[in-house]
Amino acid sequence: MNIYRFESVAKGGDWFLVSLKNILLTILTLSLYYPWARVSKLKFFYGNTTLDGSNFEFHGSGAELFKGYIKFLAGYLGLILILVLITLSLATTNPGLMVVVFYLVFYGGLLLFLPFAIYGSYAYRVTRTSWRGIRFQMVRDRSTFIKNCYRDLFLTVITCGVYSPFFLVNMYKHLFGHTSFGNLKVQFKGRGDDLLFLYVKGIFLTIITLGLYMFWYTRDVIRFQINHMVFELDGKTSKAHTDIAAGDIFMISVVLPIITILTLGLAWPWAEVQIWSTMVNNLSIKGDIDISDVIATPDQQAFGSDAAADALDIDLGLV
Amino acid sequence: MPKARYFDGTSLKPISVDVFFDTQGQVCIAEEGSSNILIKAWPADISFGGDGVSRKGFSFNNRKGQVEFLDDRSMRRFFDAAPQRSIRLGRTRLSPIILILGAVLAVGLGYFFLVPVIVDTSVKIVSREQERELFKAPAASLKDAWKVDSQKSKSAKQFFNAMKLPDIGPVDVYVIQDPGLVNAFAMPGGTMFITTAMLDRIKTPEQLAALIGHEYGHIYHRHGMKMIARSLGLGLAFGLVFGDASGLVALFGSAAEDLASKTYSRDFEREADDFAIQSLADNKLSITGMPELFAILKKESGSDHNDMKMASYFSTHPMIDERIEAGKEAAKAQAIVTKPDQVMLKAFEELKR
Repeated sequence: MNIYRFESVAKGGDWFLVSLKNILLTILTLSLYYPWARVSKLKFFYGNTTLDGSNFEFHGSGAELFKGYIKFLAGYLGLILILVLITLSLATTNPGLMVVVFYLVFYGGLLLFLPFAIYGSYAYRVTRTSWRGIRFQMVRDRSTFIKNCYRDLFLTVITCGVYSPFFLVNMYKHLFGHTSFGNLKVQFKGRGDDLLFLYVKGIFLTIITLGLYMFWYTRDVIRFQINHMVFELDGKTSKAHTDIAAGDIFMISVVLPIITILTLGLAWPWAEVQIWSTMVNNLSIKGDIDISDVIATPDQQAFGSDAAADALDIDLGLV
Repeated sequence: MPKARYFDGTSLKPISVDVFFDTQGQVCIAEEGSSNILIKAWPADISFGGDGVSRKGFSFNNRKGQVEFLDDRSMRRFFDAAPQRSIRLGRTRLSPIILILGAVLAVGLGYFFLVPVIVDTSVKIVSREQERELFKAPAASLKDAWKVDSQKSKSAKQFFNAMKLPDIGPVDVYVIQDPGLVNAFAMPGGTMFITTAMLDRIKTPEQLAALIGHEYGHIYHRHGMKMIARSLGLGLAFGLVFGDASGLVALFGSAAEDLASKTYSRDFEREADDFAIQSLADNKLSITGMPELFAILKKESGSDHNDMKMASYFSTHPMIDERIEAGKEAAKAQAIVTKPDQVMLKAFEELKR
């Protein structure tokens, strides 16, 4: 069995300085620097994560994200314009209807946009990440993903959320299933009913333990998400694995926020690094695959290729 | 010569390599123990992964592949020993800075110039009838809140009707009994309020005509609706652009919005002044009523000094001296002047009673 471990080499002090620079520049430029700050953050955390001793690298650029932001802002402005027109046209004739239509259009618009944001963000990050010189790749099938999302959103709404675990699993299956690393394929083998069981069990036990079980519940959900990721290469398989414990969840969700509050926010960069490190240091890949057998596929061998960058790939930091 | 391993970007099988600088300062990667150079790259073309990244290797900006030293100390020692002119491990690119400054300028220009144009155009979507309906209730509330002198309001309306003003629909004129507040204002939708204190200070029908012409100018040009839409638009614009920024930016944005609103309001005041001057001219009444009216306002504002010029930019109304001068200039150029007609005079006398 081959075991490859992830490790975080990020330091809180380094991240403090980088995030301070990002905050200052974002303020000075009236938030226009935000895309570059976002890329800087992804470069920091990805670059300080190693697998089998080698660092990942993030190749995105602020200019790419900035273009994406402009597209997002254009869409957002369009939505606002529609809302203003609705308000002006209905305000005097039917104020009651105006309120209903306003909220329907606003939240409906956001919900319609959400699958694009999820897909765009994932695709952007994956296709700009490399390890040992080979980039991750994604086979684009945005339309199927969006269609399935709308279907699953509808089912989630009409089942009052009961369908949500299936929705999540379908999303993971699509996103991971279309991701590859050279000739290494990724799959998600989790099932919606297993996740639903975890949700029901977790919520029930959290209530009867007055919240104490929440840490184990969160651990179970994270383990479900990671432990069902499977890698396939030339007939061999390996699986992702996390050893994260309830105590780690307690530290992330309780201890670090308290420390951050007590330090009036100054400790937040260290907290962020600690959260990242906790997730990463518990992660490994176990199985039959020898990672040195991975080769880049022919369309990856050209520098900078990322399976036809999609115009809608944007990372807004929303997801 | 430090040892390293090289991943060529086509497979994950590492190649043992030597890394060294050539005489020109380029970083060379050669197969270990061989003179076969695999890659040559200038230090500026090398990527270390970003700010704060702790790694023991580097990749290339314009080709695939990655080099890893045994540890990060080896890498630091290697680059610290580099020839002087090749020590330039990162380039500061000007293009994102120029892009950002250009974008800030564009946003600033758009904010102060484009947003008002868009907002003003969008106000046309609301018809005057709809505007009247919209502000019917607020105007009625104000009327109920203050003590309205119904007799004087009738006279004021008669004076208004006697003025030949462009017809845009029903207009209500109310006189409020307030001996202390020298004020007059117009609400969107066509309701005008004048206080008795203001009427007490007005001495001539021409001054009253200037006042009514000015307030009607606000109604005619729909300044109230534009102010409301402007505030909404500015709030949205700020929300869009600055929504992610810190409280400092929010404070700045709030002040800038306030500043822009005041500037917008000063333009409206000038527009209303021009309307009043034109309406006096159309009625062949002496335009001197205008500067005389502003002289009254100036006296009431308690400022006879020009040192208020510095504060003018931060005041809702343009500097009164400027308006007096503008009125005097217009009066000088007026060709025909007649006395007010009997209806106007009678209404004025009743107001002054």
